[in-house]
Amino acid sequence: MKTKLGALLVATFLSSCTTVDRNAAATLGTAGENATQALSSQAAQASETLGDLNQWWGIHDELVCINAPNADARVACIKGASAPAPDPSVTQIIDLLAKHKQAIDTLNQAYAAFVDLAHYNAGQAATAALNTAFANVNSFTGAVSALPGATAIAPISTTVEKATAGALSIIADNEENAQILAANTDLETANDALYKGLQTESTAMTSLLVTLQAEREALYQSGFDAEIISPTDVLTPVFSEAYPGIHLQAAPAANRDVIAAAAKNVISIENQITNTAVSKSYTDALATLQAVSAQHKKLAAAQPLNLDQIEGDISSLQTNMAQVSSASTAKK
Amino acid sequence: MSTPADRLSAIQAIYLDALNNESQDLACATTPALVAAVQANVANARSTYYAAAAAALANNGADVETAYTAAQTALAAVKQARTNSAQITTLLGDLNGATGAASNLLKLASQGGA
Repeated sequence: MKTKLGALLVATFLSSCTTVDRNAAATLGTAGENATQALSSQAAQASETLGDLNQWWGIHDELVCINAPNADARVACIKGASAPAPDPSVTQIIDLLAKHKQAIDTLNQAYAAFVDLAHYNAGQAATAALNTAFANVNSFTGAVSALPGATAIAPISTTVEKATAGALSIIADNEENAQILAANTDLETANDALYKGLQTESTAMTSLLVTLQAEREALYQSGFDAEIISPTDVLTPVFSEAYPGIHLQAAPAANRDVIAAAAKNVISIENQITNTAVSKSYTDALATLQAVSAQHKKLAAAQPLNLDQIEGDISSLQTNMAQVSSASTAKK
Repeated sequence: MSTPADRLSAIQAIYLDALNNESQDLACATTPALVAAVQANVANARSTYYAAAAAALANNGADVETAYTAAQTALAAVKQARTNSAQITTLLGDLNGATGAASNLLKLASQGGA
């Protein structure tokens, strides 16, 4: 009788102090899923381009030989431009980006598990997803410490398991609330660590993303100079946008130099726009993580959430990524 | 004092100059030896840049600052040579000087490089 009374008192005490707005938790979890999905596509794009670099160099270094001024120089150029071996530093950066993407993707899965946890008793799955995400975030933040301007980022560890172990199983609802709050804290911790990782790699990555645009332009330029890319193809989208339905005809030979110069201008301006979008996308990614963390704090403090900032940052990130992606696709 | 970002930027500028002007430089390379020199410079500037992007560049000191300034000065010399339409041999000397300066900056600024 005494035991039952004691349990009842503990249950009453815990249910009065461990409360959480589950709908808000689920909404925040979905916002976190959307945010991490947007961040993942950013990492994927940079990684894909780096993976293509060796092929780009192989093509560019050969095509640029059309500029050699005589037959001997041309032969020597072609001979000297044989397919380059993979650059170990590029391989190292690709590995880092794989860790970056893995950290974001597993955090995305942890957010999905958090949404489930807010809806029903899914503590075990959430704990497993958080542990995986934490391991990958730690792997990423460990790897970025080698980059320019890096400072060491302390490894993080989860609390959700402790919350689960400490809760009284006879009070299911209260146990789930405790798990949700612990998972909320863990997601905030993971977000903050990811923020530090992204901030640490931003010097190298912003530089790299701009350089990759230059590599893309050089590849394009070499195809252009070798006359396997038509200047008219470059100008067509611009004219079509200004005058829908317009059709450009083949250029007279006497005007080819002028048309080629106009096409080069288009490429150059597109690259300037893309470079701006690339830099902005990094700022957006950091802002998105910061906005998500701020809402985790509000959920923990039982304050009403405001997801407008997160949605705005995601939208800005997606717009900039679309800009980068459309420039990349147009030139491939 | 320069930051790791400044150092990476200096090394990047040297690579991008070599990459963006390779077609013009090759157009002036009239012998196989000159062609090989232009190609080697681009390849060296490239590997130096990507190595720098993957390195901490965190060492500080007077030698790093000297190397940083030297890299900037060397690139300025390349740009001046282009402006002056300098002979390819003179330009190649400046290009190699810039890439060497970038490589030296990478070495000195990298952990354990000093």
